[in-house]
Amino acid sequence: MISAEGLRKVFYASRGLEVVAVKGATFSVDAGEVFGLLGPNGAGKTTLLRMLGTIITPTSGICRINGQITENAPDSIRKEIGFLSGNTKLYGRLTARELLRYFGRLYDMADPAIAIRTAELAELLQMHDFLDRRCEALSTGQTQKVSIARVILHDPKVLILDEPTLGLDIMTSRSILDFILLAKGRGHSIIFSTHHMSEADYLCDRVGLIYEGELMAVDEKAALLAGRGVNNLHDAFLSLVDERERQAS
Amino acid sequence: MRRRIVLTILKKELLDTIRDKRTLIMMVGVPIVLYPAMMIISMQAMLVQQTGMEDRTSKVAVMGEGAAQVKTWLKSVEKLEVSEPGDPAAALSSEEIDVLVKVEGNPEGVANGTGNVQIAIQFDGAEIDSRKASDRVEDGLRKVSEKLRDARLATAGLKPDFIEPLKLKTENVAPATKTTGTILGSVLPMLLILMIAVGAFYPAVDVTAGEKERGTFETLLSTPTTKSEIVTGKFLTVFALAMLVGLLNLTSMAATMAFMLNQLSSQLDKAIPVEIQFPPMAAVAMVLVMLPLSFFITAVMMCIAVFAKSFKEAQNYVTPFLMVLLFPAMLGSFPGVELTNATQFIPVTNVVLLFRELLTGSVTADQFFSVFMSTFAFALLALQFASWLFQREEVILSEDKGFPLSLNRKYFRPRASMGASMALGYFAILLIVLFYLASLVQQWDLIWGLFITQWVFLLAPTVLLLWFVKVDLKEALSLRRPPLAGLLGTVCMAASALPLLIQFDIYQNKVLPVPKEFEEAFAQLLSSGASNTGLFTLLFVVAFSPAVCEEVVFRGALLSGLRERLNPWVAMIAVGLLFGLFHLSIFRIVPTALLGMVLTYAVVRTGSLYTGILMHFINNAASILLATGSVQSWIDVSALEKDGLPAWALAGAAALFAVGVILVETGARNSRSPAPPRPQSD
Repeated sequence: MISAEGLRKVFYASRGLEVVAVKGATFSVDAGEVFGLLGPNGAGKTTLLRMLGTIITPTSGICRINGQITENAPDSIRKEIGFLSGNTKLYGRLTARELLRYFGRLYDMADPAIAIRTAELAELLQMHDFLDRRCEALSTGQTQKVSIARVILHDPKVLILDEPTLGLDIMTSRSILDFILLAKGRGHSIIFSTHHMSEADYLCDRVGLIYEGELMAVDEKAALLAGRGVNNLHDAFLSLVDERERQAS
Repeated sequence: MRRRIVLTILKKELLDTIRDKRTLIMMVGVPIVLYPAMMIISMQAMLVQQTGMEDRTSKVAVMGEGAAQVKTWLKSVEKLEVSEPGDPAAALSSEEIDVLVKVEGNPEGVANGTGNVQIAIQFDGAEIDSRKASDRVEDGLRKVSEKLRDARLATAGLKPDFIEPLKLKTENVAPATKTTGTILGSVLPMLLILMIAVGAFYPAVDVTAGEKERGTFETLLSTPTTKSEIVTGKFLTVFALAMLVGLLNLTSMAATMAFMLNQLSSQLDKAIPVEIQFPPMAAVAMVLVMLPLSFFITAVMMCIAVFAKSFKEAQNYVTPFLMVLLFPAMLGSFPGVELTNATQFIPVTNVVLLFRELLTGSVTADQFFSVFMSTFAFALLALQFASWLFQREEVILSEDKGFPLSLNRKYFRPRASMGASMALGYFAILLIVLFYLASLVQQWDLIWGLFITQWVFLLAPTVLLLWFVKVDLKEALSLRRPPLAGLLGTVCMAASALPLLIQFDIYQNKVLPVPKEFEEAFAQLLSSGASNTGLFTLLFVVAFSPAVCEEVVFRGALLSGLRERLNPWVAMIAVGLLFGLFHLSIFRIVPTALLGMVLTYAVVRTGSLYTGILMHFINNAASILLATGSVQSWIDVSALEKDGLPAWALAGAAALFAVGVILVETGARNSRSPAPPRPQSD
C-alpha cells in the first residue's frame, strides 16, 4: 500500500525563486485498489508520482510504501515498486528480451527466474512476435507493452503508472487498462495518472484531482460526484477548478 | 555496493556502446584505419620531396669584380650551376637563383698565394632549396680555401698541423636508447594522454548525457540499484574502453611507425640511425601509471558530461576539457621541467614527466610511487565527485537552459540569471581574455591597462552578455538597497578581513615563499603608480574600478548563474574559488579565494551587490594605502611582515569579524528581500 502525508516538492529556479510543484499532498492507496490521479498537464502529477517512486526526494512530508518510509531506504524500497512514466524509456540498442534480462538482474532476480517470468509476460502481453527485436525498432504500442513487462517483471506490490496509455491506440490502451484491472484483482496497490476522465471512470475506486500543485479532492468516485452535484468526473473536475479560480479572484 | 549489480551494468553498457555505430567508428575506425593511412601518405609525400631536393641542381650567381675567378672555383662543385641573371639581387628574391655570391675584393692575388678576399654568401633562409644551395657553395669554397692554405703553408715549409695547435673532437656518449628516449619521451606521453582521452570521450558522453537524451535514465533510477552502483558500473565501462582504445591507438601508431621506418631505410638505401628500444621495465611501469591516469581522465569527463542533457551539448562541454588536458601535458614536455617534490603532485604533468624519465632511465621507486599514488588520489576524488553529482536529482533530471541554441535575441525568454553552465563557460572565456588581452594592454601602459581591463574587458562584456540573453539586470546583479545592519556588518567584516588576510599571507609565505621579484614588482607597481599618477588615480584604478567591475562579474553575473544549480553555501565556495583562480597567480589563489568567499557571503546574506562593492573597495584601498606608505607613519609595515600581527590585534580583528557576521545575519533576518533558499537536504 501507498500512503503520503503532506508531500511537498519545491524546485529552486533561480535566485531564491521557488517553484512549488506539489503543495502538500495527503492520501493513501490500499492493497487491491486503483487510485486515479487526475489533472491537466503541468499540474504536478509527474512530480508527485516521482516522489512516490523515490526517483526524487520530497522537500517535506512523508511517503510510505508498504509501511516503510521511503526516505529511509529508497534503494531497497524500489524492489516493491513498479514505476512507469513518459520518461522511463527503453534502451533502444537492446532487444526486448535482453532488456528484461537486464532489469531482472538489477532487481536481483536469478537468470532462470527471469527467463520463466519473461515467458509468462510474453504470453500475458502478447509479445512473442517482437521479443527478440531491438527496442528502437518497435512500434509505440509494442514499446509500451515491453515497458509494462519491465514494470511488473519483479512482481511488485505497488504500481505507479504515469499516463500509461498516452499516445496509444484504442486497442492497446484497452489491453493495458485490462491489465491494470487484473493487477488490482491480484491485490496490488495501483496509482495511475491520466487526463482521460473516461479511463478513470472505467478503472478507479477513488480519485484525486490535482491542479497547480494542489491536491484538491480525494474521494470515492461516487461521493465526489454526489458532493459536486454532477454526474461525471469531467464536470466534477471543472467545477472544482472554477470554484478555486473564484476563490482566488 | 553489490558486485553482481555493478558487473551487470558494466556488461550492459559495453554491449550498448559496441552496438552504437557512431561510437564504434570514432573509437576503433579512426585509430586502425585513419592514422596509418594519413601517416603513410604524408611520409610518401615527404620522401618524394626529400629525394627531389637532393637531386636538384642549385643555381648560383656571382657578383663583384673578381667574379670570374670565383666562378671557376664554383664550377668544380657538384650539383651547382652558375647562371648569369640581369639583376642578381632580384633573381634571388624571385627564386630564379638559389644563392648569390658577392665577392668583395680581388681574388687574383689569393689564387697566386698572397692576400685574402672576403666572400659573402646570400641565401633565402625561408627556402629549403636556397639553404641547401648555400651549404653547397660554402662547402665548395671552404675546400678551395683549405687547398690554398695548405699550398701557402707548403711554400713556407710548414705542415698543415702547424696552424692547429689543439685538435678538438666531440663525442656523444649517450646510448642510442637515451637519445631516442628523450625524443620519444616528449612526444609519446602527450600522444598517450590524448589517445586515452579520445577513447574515453564517446563512451563518457554516451553513458551520461546520451542516456539522459534517450530518456532511459529515469528507468534506471526506478530500479533498486544505488547511485554508486550505477556510477561505478558506468565508470568501469568508460574506463575499460578508454584503456582499450588508448592501447589500440598506441599499437596502431607503433605499427605504422615501424612500417614507415622500414620503408624509409629501404628507400634511402641506408639504415636509419635511430634505435627504437623500449626498456621492458619502463613499458611495464607506463602501463601501470596509465591505469590511474585513465581512471582520472574518465572520471573527470563523466563529471562534465553528466551536466549536459544531450549528446551534442556534452560534446561541447567535454571538448574544452581535452584542450585543458593538453596544458599540463605540454608543461611536462618542456625542457628543463623535471620530476621534483612539487611537480610529482601536479596531475597529468607528473605522468608526462614520469614517462619521460622512464624512457631515459632515471626514475626512483619513490618517484614512481608518488606519481602513481597522487594520480590515483586525484582519480578517486574525481570519481567521488561524479558519484555525488549522480546523487543530485537536479543534475540527473535537470533541464538546464544552458546556452541558448538560437543566437537571435528575439527568441530568448527573459530570465533571472545566465544559468550555471553559461556562467562557467563565460568565466573560462574571461580567463582567456585576461590572460592574453589584459596582459597585453597592461604591458603597454600599466595604469591605463588596468583601467581598460576592468571597465572594457570585465564590466562591459558582462553587462552586454546579460542584456543580450535577456537577464533581468536588477535581479541578477542584486541591485537593491542593503539593510542598514548588513551594511554596517559589511564594513566591520571588511575592516577586519584585511589584517586577517595579512596574517594569512605571513603564514602562507612560510609554506610557499613568494619570490622576491614578484613581491618587489608588486610594491613597485603601487609606489611608482602613486608617484606618477597620484594617489587619487591609483585609488580609482586599483580600488574603485575592481570593486565595481569585479563585483558585477563575480558576485553579480556568476553568482546568480551558479545559484541556479547550487545551494547558496556551495555557490559561495565556488564563486570564491573562481575569484581566486581569476587572479592567475599561485601565490594569490588562496587568500583571494578566501576574500572572494567572504565577499560572496556578504552579498548573498544582505541580498545586495553594494555591500560587496563597498567591502571590495575598503579592502583594496587599505592595501594600497599600506603598500604605498601613505599610512607608514602609524603602522610599521616592515616589522609586521617579519613578526606577524600581535595576538591582541588578531583577536580584535577576529572579534570585529564576528560582530560583522552577526550584524549581516541580523540584517538578513529583518530585511524584506527574499532570503536565499535554504540548502536542500538530501
